[in-house]
Amino acid sequence: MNIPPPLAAFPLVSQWITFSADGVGILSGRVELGQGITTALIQMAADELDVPVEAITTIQGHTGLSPAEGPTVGSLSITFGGQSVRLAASAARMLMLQHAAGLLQAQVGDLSVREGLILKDGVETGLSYARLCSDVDLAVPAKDYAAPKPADQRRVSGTSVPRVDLEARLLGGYLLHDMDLPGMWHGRVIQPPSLSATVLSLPSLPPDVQLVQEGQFLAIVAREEYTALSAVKKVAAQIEWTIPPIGSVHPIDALEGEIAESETLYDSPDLAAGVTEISVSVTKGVIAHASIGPSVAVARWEGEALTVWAHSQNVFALRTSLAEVLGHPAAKITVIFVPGAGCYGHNSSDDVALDAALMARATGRPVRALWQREDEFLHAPFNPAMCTRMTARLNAQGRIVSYDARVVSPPHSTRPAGAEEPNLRAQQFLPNAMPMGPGNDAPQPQGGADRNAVPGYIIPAVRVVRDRPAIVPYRHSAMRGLGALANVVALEQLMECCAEAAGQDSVAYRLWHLEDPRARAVIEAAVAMAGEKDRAEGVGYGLGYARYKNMAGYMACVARVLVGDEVRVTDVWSAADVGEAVSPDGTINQLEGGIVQAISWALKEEVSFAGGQNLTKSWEDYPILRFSEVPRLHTRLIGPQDAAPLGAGEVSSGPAGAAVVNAVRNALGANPDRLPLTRQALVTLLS
Amino acid sequence: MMQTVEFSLNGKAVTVQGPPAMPLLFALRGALAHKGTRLGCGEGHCGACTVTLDGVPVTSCNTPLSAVEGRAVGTVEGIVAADHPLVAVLIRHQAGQCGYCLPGILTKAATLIDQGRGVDEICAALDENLCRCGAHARILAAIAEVAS
Repeated sequence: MNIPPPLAAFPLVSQWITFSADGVGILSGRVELGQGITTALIQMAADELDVPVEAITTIQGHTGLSPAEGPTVGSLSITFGGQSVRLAASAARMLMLQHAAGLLQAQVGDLSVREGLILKDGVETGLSYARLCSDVDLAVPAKDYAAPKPADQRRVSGTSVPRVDLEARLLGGYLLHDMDLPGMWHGRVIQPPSLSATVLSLPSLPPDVQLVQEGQFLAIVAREEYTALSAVKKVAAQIEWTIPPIGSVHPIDALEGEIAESETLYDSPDLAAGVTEISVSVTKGVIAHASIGPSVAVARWEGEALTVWAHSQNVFALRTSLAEVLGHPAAKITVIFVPGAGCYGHNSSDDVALDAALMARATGRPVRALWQREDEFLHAPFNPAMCTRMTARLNAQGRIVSYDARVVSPPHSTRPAGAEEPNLRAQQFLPNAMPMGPGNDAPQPQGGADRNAVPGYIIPAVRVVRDRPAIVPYRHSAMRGLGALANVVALEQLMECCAEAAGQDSVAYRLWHLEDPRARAVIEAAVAMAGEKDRAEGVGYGLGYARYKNMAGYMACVARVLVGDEVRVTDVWSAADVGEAVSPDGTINQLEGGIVQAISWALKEEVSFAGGQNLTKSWEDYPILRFSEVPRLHTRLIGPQDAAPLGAGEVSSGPAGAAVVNAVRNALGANPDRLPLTRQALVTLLS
Repeated sequence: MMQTVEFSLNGKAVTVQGPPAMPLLFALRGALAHKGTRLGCGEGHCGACTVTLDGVPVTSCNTPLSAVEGRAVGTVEGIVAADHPLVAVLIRHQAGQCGYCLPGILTKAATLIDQGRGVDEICAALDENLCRCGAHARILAAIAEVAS
């Protein structure tokens, strides 16, 4: 039996599954970010335990109760977290049956479970999970008892049950934004205009508000939310700051400038010369997570005990990071996840938790802190600007014999990481100011900036170098897929260019460089779904393929674009193999959401800078794809349901982005080398 | 300065006190405890706070409380309480992910459906509502099912 890492770390059944008279509980570290993980976890447990979906509740992301699985990232929630729940649930059922067998003087093999009732030879015994809930010791290793059902015996996993949380999301009360505690006040932080700005003078305060000031950390707290909001706007506009000069280097120019650190991540000794050399280069700008809901947190101090409610991706690291910055023992801090708006990566959800804790400490009241839209666009972490250059060398037959890539990018994660690197924005402004840490990229094969820069195609000699620009005039961290967007866009453009140089059809050319039948199958399926190509004026078609992280889900997309003054994507046909899809409609929803987001990134999105000064303050400065611009989506899952689940949330970003860029290339006959493909970028490309 | 404002909220008369310039959104989420209407940008750009004013969709984050005196305000709570057919169809289509944008979209779309508007017109009106999870196509499919 394959034991996933979280279950290895938290081996006991009781760390994952609880029984009570009311039903079954799942304890999980994986949090519900809108991706549907709650529903999927319940489905996986329902199958193993033979209980209905409605009988299961979850506690997710509670530092006092959940297994400390780490962050909900990387399309790993089913692969690791879900599989842990599945095994623990299977073991829990076995423990229940063993106990029942003793009571009934029966063999376990004669017993079965129907909706939580224990049956013998198909007949009710009067025993049930509810009845035995206090009598069975679950504090035993799951791996000793787990025997999960084979795929063909699952009744709930593999079916599209309705999302258990969607109806609640239509009304107030479900999201952290709606939380209200007795005596709770509302806070808004005043963001210093630069990291080393200092307050020269403060204006007098409007009535009914309290100012929180610790070093250069400033916030306004008031009983009514609108009082705090209107006061913060008034006060922030009147504060005099000393502002040191802002750097003059634009994030894109910094990619061409001094390199602080260069690392060869993947190397082959013999980069054969070949007879033809083909190179492509793709540069993209800084992209914002741009949640529709601004980040929020609620904090309450009761004596030494601090409770923080946050929509963090990692409550466990947030707790130790808060402990470090607040100088308070982690053992006295509880962080509880409550859903917020979709985050798509490391946004400001952790930052605002520290803000709330500081405001609550200073005022002695529970405080709900909320960032403003402008705070998010100016001060939250961003997906970094990056540049990927790739070169392929072809032999006389046109086959790629060697490849090298140079990825220039800051690290793609500066997530809060406890004592070493708490990385919460306000830590820089407190009297004991701490600089933010440098962050990191996961090592290959996952990679960070270099994610999917190692080609999934069969190429005998490969080298990948990752360079860090010396100047990074913004906060950089993780967003959906990390470097996969730019790297897959570049690699798939390279494959088009190589196929042309070799005089081959680009689909056949890709298949020539792929042996994995699952990789070939998604490409063949997506191309077949797209069918006959029309050749109307301005129309282009493009293919994008990747296996996410070269180890997770496979996906191929074909995009049809119509290029006029602007690019319009009309259709995307996609085939994905993510192995087992626990909730197929939810999986498709995730894949399609990733497609829409990737189209938005590729065509529209870039945080605008003048030199090193971020100019983006509102949605007017940062357009994203709108309803009338979303294409028709045709998406199929073609993976085997009896294969291991590979994850889905981030799988589509690279292939969809690459398909769109290749379709534009096809329509224009030019290699797009700069994203986003705005009207201006098209003019530059064609001149 | 506080002003007392009377209006109809989902068909019921309500009275609320607040600064006249305070956006309607804060009265709804605060004293009136109707938290389905959400604060997104506070600038009328994203549509998360969409309500109806005398049957016309508006953004409540930049509609002053004083402007609703004597008028009829409709929110997502009213749409759900009336069991509008779009609610169940949205859920059946799994037309959302995080759902932060959905109350505003549901309020606008249900209102326009009830006024007999066509899918294309509703889609165009929804260009003022942002969705970041990328559930647009499912939302439009749900609207098309109910509107036709």
